[in-house]
Amino acid sequence: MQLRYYIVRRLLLFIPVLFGLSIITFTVSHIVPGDPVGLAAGPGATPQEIEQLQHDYGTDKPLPEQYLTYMSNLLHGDMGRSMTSRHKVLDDLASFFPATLELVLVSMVLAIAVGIPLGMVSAVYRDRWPDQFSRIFALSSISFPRFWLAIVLQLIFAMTLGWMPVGGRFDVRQTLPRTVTGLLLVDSLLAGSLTDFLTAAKHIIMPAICQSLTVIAFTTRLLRSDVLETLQKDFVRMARSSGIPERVILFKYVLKNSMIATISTLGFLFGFALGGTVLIESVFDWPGIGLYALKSAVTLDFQPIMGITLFVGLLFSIVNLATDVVYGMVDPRIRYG
Amino acid sequence: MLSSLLPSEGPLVKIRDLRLNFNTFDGVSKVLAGVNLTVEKGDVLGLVGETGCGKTMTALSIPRLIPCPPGEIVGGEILFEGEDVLAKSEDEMRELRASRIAMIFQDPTTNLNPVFTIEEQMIDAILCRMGEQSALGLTPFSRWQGSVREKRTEARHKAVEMLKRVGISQVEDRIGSYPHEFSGGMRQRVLIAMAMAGQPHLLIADEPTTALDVSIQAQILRLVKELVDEFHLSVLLITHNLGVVAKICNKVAVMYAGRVVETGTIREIFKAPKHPYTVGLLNAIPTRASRRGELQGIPGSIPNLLSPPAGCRFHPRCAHAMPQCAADPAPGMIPLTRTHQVVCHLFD
Repeated sequence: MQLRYYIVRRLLLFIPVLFGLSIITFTVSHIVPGDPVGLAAGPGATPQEIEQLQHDYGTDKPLPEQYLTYMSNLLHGDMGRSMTSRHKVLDDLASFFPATLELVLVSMVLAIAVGIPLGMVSAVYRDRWPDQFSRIFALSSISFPRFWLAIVLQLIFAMTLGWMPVGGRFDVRQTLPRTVTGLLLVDSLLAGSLTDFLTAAKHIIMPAICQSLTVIAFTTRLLRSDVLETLQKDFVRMARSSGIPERVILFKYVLKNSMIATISTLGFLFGFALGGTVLIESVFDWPGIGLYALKSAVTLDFQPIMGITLFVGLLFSIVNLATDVVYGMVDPRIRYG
Repeated sequence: MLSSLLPSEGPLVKIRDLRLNFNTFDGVSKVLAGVNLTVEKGDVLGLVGETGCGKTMTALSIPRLIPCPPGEIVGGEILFEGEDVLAKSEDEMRELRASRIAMIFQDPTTNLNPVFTIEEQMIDAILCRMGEQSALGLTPFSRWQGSVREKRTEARHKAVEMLKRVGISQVEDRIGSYPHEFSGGMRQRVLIAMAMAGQPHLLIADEPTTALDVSIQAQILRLVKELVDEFHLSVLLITHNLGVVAKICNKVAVMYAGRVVETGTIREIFKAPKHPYTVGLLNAIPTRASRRGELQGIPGSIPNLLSPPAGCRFHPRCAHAMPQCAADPAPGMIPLTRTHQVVCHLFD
């Protein structure tokens, strides 16, 4: 009951957050120097054509009025159109976001599957070779530039060995499975096609690995220090004195106590990555929201910029809320209030 | 050989010349420097001494719960029911702890896991004490197995029964609570219930009442005493409260700076203490007879164990120190009666 009130209150708090975000983004994207309409009209446009376009997009009106128009359209479900592609922003988001979501989800699963065991191992074998190995692994995956690593992976596994495709989300010669969730891995399974699934998996694995490395590094180091601290706690000695096997102590009693910082970091990195993984997306030609945001930003295409910012802001808030709720499930002492 | 043929003979615990070092950044701390201690079956032995004298480390070395590293046992022998504890494998030790040794600790708040319910923790501990650690069910999936569920239900019955035994009311309503929802006294009762759920032969109680209110202390002590009588337990009680010792122990061992300096029955130690340190310790207890405003202590302070004094470690503070007290080797155990032993050159 208490939890339900907490969630409702946090959801209501989204309104002022997104409102503030919209004002800041709108102002910034309109006061930066540049002429988006001129860019959209093209180099050969006549002054009359540009004026007509300005009228069409409402950019000849005062800024506050433009903002109010945008917001009232937004509340009616209309996010506007891109000036360069003339696509509806809503449709663009619907087609680009699932690609990013799929990439981020797969990379998070990888990061958790590798990072948590690695963190536990390096705590248990503190300062011995598994710990040194994980330390070097974590340090190098943070310090190597991600785009460089991506290119190296492409050179080895795509160009030389030919095991993986260089980039893209799916084989252009194959027809895409019917869109249900927008996640190709899920859609191909729903359509019952294992070949499609394998094609999608082959395309996603290298970008996902690149994306997961940083997360693995953070998870491993954080979890290691928290596990080391928890291992010193009296209740661990108490569990040992009851004859509870070391394996159970580690993976049940210690792990749950050590997860707090890791969960909040994972939640933050997850929300952050949903905003787009521009470097990875551009190296692997992954049609995600990061590339879309980049293209919109360089042309000062403000309707997509607004749409992306608000959408990602909303997602980030939701992920944060989810993280806080998971917190409470792990640690019963946390009170929602 | 003899001990395995006649398992009921001999002492329950025999520690001989146990030496424990802690390797710290500042150097090697010689925490235990030749501890000799015997717990006979049926004994309730009080282990007393100042903070930092090695009482807890001595006790923790019996179930081998000393963190190694930084700890390192560099010499000596520990026999539990005739078995060499230091020679056992990790798994044999785990089984020994589960089946024959019960421990309760000082602070009931930190000794319960804050993120699991009392029920969950008790069931796990009881399953291990029943020798059913395969039913611990590390993954949620294993809980679906009928045999695991059956074992856990059985352990839960035992948990409820034990919680009732240690005086917790409305057990069915409370067993699903988290530790922070219990009071300190109740938490200590839970820990006692967890420890006693098997058929332990030895109870190690490490200052079980220090962290509790005075009124709760008496209740917990009474409970421990009842359980000791009921389960025919032998007890190693660590405390610095001599009043507690006088109330529930039949024997005392006095420790000073990593050595046992005097052992004997309650009567022998309280009526006729021999070691100058024991005498000082007993004189330090304020009584109604001592004059108002006058507290008697032992001059000096406990030695730094990184560079302890040679010979008898008490000699720098001892009023009766003689030249040979400052020379190695340290004095040996001198039997005065069958039960009373002292480690002091005064009785050579």
